[in-house]
Amino acid sequence: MIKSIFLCSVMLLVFSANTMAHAIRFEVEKHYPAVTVHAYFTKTSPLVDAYVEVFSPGNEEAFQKGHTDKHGFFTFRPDENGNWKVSVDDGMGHFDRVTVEVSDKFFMNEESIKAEEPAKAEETKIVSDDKPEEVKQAEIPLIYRIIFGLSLIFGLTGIIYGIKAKQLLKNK
Amino acid sequence: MHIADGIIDARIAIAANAVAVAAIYVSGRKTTIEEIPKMGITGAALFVASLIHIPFAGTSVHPGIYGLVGIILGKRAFPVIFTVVLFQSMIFQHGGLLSVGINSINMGAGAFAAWLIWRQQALPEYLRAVFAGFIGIIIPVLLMATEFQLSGYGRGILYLFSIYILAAVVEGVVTLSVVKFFRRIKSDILT
Repeated sequence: MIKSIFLCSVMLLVFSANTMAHAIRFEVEKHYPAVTVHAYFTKTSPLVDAYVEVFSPGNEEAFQKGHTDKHGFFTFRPDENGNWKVSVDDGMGHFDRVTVEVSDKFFMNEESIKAEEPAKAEETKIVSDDKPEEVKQAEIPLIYRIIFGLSLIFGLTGIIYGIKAKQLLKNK
Repeated sequence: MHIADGIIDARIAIAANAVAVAAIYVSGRKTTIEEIPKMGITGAALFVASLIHIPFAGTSVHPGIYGLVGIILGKRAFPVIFTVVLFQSMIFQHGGLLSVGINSINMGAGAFAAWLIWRQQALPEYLRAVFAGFIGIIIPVLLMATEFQLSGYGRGILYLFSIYILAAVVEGVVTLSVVKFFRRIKSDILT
């Protein structure tokens, strides 16, 4: 019995190493005249054909709607500066949004292109700009995070068990 | 199946957290010392199971085992689900910290409904197990889809339902096989 539980646990852990976390992550690339959003669970698991809505600054009505491509990319062309909101929904309950800050600097490239100057494009790559901590955590291998989570659960179980046992001993 | 922060109105999310804390108290009080290891092991299994995701129709589904958790833990399922959702939110960013309450209520409702079905002794055990596993997924999906709909997000209740119905059937079959396994090796683990 103990052997089978141990074997099952090991198999679960090994199998889980190939699974992926389910938080949506974003990479936003701003390069005049377009903003490209890359939505994915992990680098090898993009949000394919997810429904995307783009909201211009201060507007509740969508500026643009569409779907991500098979690599999880979606591109739009902002026409004003401010905070643009991009929401991504895979229809399976995985929904999140990212705020894309479009500054004056982004449109300054328009002038340079018009003047046929060499492109001084503002090429900015931000990763989940409103969630920098997540990105840091994403660097921790999944297996370590699983072990950490299981340790917390078993640790908590042990603490509650200890408290209950103490109460029982006191009552005796 | 985890709602991220910012989808549901913050006031509703806070209220859901308060309801969840009350539900933890109601469902977790008078827990006996014998129940605690079972809760810990089931919580660990739920924690890992939710991380497995299966590519499906251009997206992915993941097992919930909420029905099985309901069958094994009964009314003690809610504190376990809340703890697991909280840790998943902190470690994997599944959902968000503010949404822990609403996510726990969605999933806890599935486990509770499964437990109610499991207790219907008049029905054959295999039917109760399959239906408990099925309902353990369908209830959270319906709740989540309704919340998305009310918040103006998502592709609608029917879409989500149509995607998850197959997953719920699979979950029902898996629940049945696990129940049969427990009946053979350790029957008293089932409530």
